[in-house]
Amino acid sequence: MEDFDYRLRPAKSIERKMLAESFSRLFIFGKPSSYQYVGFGAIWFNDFILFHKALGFEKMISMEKNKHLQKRFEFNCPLNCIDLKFDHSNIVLPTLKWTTKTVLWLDYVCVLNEEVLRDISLVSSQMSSGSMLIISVNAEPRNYRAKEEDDPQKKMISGLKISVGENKVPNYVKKEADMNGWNTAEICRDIFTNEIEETLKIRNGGIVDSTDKFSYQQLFNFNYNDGAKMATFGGIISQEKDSTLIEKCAFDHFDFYRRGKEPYYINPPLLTFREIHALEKIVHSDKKEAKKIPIDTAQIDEFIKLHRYFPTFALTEI
Amino acid sequence: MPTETPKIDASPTKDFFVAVLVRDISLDDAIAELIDNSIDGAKKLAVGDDFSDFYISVKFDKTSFSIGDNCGGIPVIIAKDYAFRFGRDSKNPDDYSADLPIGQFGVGMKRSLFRLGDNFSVDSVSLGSSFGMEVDVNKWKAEKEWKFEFNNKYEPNQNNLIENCGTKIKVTNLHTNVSENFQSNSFINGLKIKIEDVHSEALINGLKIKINTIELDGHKDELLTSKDIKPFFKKITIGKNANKVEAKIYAGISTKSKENFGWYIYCNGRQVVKADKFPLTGWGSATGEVSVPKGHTQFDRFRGYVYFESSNAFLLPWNTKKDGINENSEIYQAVRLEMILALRQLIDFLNQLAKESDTEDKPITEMIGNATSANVSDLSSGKNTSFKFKAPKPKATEPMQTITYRKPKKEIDKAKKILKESGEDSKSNESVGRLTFEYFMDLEDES
Repeated sequence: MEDFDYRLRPAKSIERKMLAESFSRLFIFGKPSSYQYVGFGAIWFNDFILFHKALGFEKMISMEKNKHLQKRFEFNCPLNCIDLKFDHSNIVLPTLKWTTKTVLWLDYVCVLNEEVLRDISLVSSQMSSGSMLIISVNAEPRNYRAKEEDDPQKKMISGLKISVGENKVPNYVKKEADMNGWNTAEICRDIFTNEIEETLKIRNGGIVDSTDKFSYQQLFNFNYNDGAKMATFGGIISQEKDSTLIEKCAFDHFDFYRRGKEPYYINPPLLTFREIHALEKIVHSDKKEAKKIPIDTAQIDEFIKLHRYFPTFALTEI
Repeated sequence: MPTETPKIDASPTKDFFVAVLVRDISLDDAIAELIDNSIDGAKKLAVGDDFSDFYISVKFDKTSFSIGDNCGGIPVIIAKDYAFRFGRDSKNPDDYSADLPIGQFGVGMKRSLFRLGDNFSVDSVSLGSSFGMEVDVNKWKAEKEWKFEFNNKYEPNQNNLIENCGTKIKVTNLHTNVSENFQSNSFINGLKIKIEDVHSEALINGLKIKINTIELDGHKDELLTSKDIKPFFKKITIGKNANKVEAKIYAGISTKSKENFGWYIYCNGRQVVKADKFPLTGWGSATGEVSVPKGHTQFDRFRGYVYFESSNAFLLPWNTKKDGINENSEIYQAVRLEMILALRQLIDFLNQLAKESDTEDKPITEMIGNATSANVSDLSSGKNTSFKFKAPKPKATEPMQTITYRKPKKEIDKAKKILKESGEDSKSNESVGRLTFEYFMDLEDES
């Protein structure tokens, strides 16, 4: 179970809405009822509620490794179409039915590690065409520091090598500074993408007809700060014969669509309700109107960029 | 007057050729190769999987070796253009190698014969022809021509009865090391086990193979099954028609065995991998916690079987010696992904089973006790199935909490040393903390 109430993390909330909007395009591939959604519902099930209500997914699977809190998770489960699986994703994922088209969001709170890569490689080897695979990982450089017993200097590079396996670390990561700032997020994206592509290459070795071969196309590359640097990347796995369907999905129309290394930063400004209401009114007006609101221009621009996804919740005492 | 530049004679000597040919083949492989050829013949004549009408008899002692079968014989045209040719002729439209499901590489028979001794004879009767040949290898080496000759038994047009068809090969003037091995019991036992493993499927299907007086037995590939335990099955078809390769994967549990657990892989009925527990078959690498430390018996009930079949033996992912997998084969790599999936579906079950050794409550052990063993070929209905077991209801586990504290490194190292001396695994600081806590509780907790 995660330690945060995710409803109160605006970047996460924005990211979730952006993902939901993208998922809605998948219906070019098939009806919502033909898809399954798989994720980590935690105790809040926010993504499950949003994706069910906004998109109509009917088959939903939430994985939860804290077996001893089973009763509490069952109590909090908001929809009876959610199937709760009480085990580690490493155990649950191999048992799922992958012939069903899937939206899988592995929203880890941990750093990128071998267990995560094991999940990525397994699902890439099994997912059917038109499925989405997304992961979120902690990309805070200091969280990759090696334990003292493994490296007395507690280097981040040593920690990363231990965490994902030395052969997975890209060649360009040579010195400690290479992991500074958002570099770690980019390194994680490269390792993640490589894992999918390597697996698909092997999978395609067993496919003779070129129109049946699989490929991965990145759609998302989000970076945001939620107390720690977080990164979310993912995209769609499809067969060559479905490439026209992907074009029809027109994912590239979204501002946040990212095909490569360049991330989309989610950096929501901290605003009062009065400010939010004032800003919403002038989103489509000219800049002069905005100047009347006593907020930094950069923050106004950021709000305008994100306003459709901006969280509208309030924390209240009951 | 211009003088003619002398030419370099680069033609191979037969001595060199024979030496290279036999260099990498072991004695038991040489015999296995000859048995393969007989089985190829039987495969062409057998109705379905029934091999009960066929036998192969191998006999040897310190002076001679022979192999005889009733597996259809070698047609004269194959003997002439293929079986005794040196190497495969890919341009030859009459190349018969693709019709032979096992003996695909075209060097086997001659290599085996050269490996065994200096004189050999081959007599064969097939439906439409028969022939005999005798070769004195040393004499042949001294000749310039690269030819063998039929003897007076050569009959290119005949009408023979199927029950009279077969081949008899005899080798005399054995090489010294061959003769020595033929007198060793451990060699004979090793050969028996090898042939039983490799041709288990044909033996189960009724083929009789005898080595001297020993009748060989096949062993069945079995998995436990019951209403609560269902094995994994997946069929994968790659390519179409003549270029089709089919792989069937079965995985589940069977009897406990430290030696026999792991993956078994067959190509056209021939076993090429036996009880593999290494990254070759998906252990330890992509499967992380499935890596099997030496002597660890956590997974000793696991069995996986993969059967590759193709009418075009060149497409199968075996190596040229046909005694292992060609790891670089794209087809094998793709199937290996599915083997990893199968293995991972079983991990949870095997881990839960391992944990039961320390508890009184043993629902999984009981579940296994109630399961029955079934031959894998009887298991699948043709539909892909995941490994399934009826998970016992989890008991509420105790809430856990973490204790952390700092201590001087010198003291921790000392504690590690003391723990190591008393036989505890204490490589990490975490284990030092846990073990010293357990030590305290053992001493002080009287409840």
